[in-house]
Amino acid sequence: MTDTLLSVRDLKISFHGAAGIFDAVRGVSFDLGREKLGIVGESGSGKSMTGRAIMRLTPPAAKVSAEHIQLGDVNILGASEATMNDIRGRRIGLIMQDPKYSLNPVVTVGEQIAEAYRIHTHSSSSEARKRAVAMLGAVQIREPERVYRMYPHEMSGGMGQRIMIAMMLVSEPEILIADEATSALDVTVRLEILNLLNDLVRKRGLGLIFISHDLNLVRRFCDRVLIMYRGRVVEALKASELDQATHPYTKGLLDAMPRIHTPRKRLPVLTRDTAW
Amino acid sequence: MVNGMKEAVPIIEIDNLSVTFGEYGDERRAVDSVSFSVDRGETFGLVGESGSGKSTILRAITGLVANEASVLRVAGTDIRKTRGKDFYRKVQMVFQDPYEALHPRHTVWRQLMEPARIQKLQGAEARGHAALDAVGLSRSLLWRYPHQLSGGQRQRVAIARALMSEPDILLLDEPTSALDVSVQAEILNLLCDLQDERGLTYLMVTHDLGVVAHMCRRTAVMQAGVIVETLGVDALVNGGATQEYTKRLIAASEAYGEDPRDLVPVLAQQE
Repeated sequence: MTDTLLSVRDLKISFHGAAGIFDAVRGVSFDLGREKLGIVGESGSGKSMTGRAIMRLTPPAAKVSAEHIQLGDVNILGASEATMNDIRGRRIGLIMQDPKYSLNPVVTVGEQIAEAYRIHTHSSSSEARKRAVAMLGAVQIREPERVYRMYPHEMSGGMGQRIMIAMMLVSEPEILIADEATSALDVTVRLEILNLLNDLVRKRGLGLIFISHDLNLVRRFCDRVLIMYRGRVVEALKASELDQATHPYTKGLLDAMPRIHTPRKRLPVLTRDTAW
Repeated sequence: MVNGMKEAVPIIEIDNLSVTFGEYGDERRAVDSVSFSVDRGETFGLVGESGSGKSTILRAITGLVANEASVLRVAGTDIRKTRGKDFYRKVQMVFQDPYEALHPRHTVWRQLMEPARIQKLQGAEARGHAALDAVGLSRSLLWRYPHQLSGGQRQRVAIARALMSEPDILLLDEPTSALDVSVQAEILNLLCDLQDERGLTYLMVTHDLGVVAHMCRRTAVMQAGVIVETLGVDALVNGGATQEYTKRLIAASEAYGEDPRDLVPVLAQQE
């Protein structure tokens, strides 16, 4: 499983505003294989921007440059908008934090999944419907036929997120970007969604980019972890070796978390070094 | 964070509290006959998943939602029918998202002066400065608006505002779940310090068992409006939960939670 699905070299994103230039991402490089790659960092670290840049969905004010962002034979930076439309959803799927804002409230969830399939495969609507129902089953929704006719407001958070995953997977992408996809979910629901993602990576050979602020979650769930701070990858580690992190920022983050089994009177507070 | 075996005096007493939403055939009990009491100076946790009714309990105590109860007392005073001025000084609330809880077009200073004006507090300015010092906010931030502050600073402003009336009780509704872990650590430390200095009582709603384990001595576990069990945090984290739901909640938090090495003793106890 060493084949590289996506390669990012020296990605830089900056915003040119009235207040001067702000560098959101300052030279990020990584390769993604058929694996679960975690990108961890605090708010403002540039982790979501990195995800967006891969799909070329950065805001218009952002200036993106890189040596390359290579998806198979396509260079994302130089691709035409038509090519990108073909890639978005078809080859790379994106799941965001809150399904409430990502689903169309006035269209049944089944139709939304079927639409995603039809756009990318130009198949008949009955075929798309069949695929959508099958997909609902694949993300472990009970009574998929009934849920197909339901509207987003009838969904719980966990169900909504499953719908999003189903919608992203129905066109069988090579890469899935999950941007804080489980952060808004309750712990028990989160567990189910993670197990589902895990299965999909294993069975379909998907490459998963799992963007999260939750270090504990990522270290247990992902294969590899990139730790980002102020637009840079400060450390890249195997998830299982996170204990051996050497960068003070990573150590500080790990320390600052309240622990269930080793209580401390005070939590260590992160001191930030401007040189990082 | 209660020091030693101080005499336990209940400051919040709740018996058979129910909150019902909707009417005539479309009723839903968000909180169903809940009973617990919180001792002066302790931190009591309310844990549960979304929709379990934990925040609704806080809103019922402050009178933001209609409720029925056989006993609802704060510092010995019955608050079922009326809440005096004194109540609103003694009890303050801190919300999950400080950005939504602060007035977007008021400066930090005006946010602090607002409760002083409403509650006709004496010496408002001195209180304002004291509150800022207590939460560790620099004076240079006084004239900023919420959007010019970081998330941690905003939550500090919200806490400072709650401290203006020198309350005895803070109702904390997920006070750190919108914050980064490093900022969360700062805010939790601040809450502990304030408690040590002022002997505050905290009733803390959270879904994060790590935060509960760090902050609380006792906690109630809620599911679908009902308290499933009330137990000491020691018992909670060391496999002393008796109810199936509590065990499931702990297992789910741990599955993708802490370092596996920390779990070995717990798993052994579950066998």
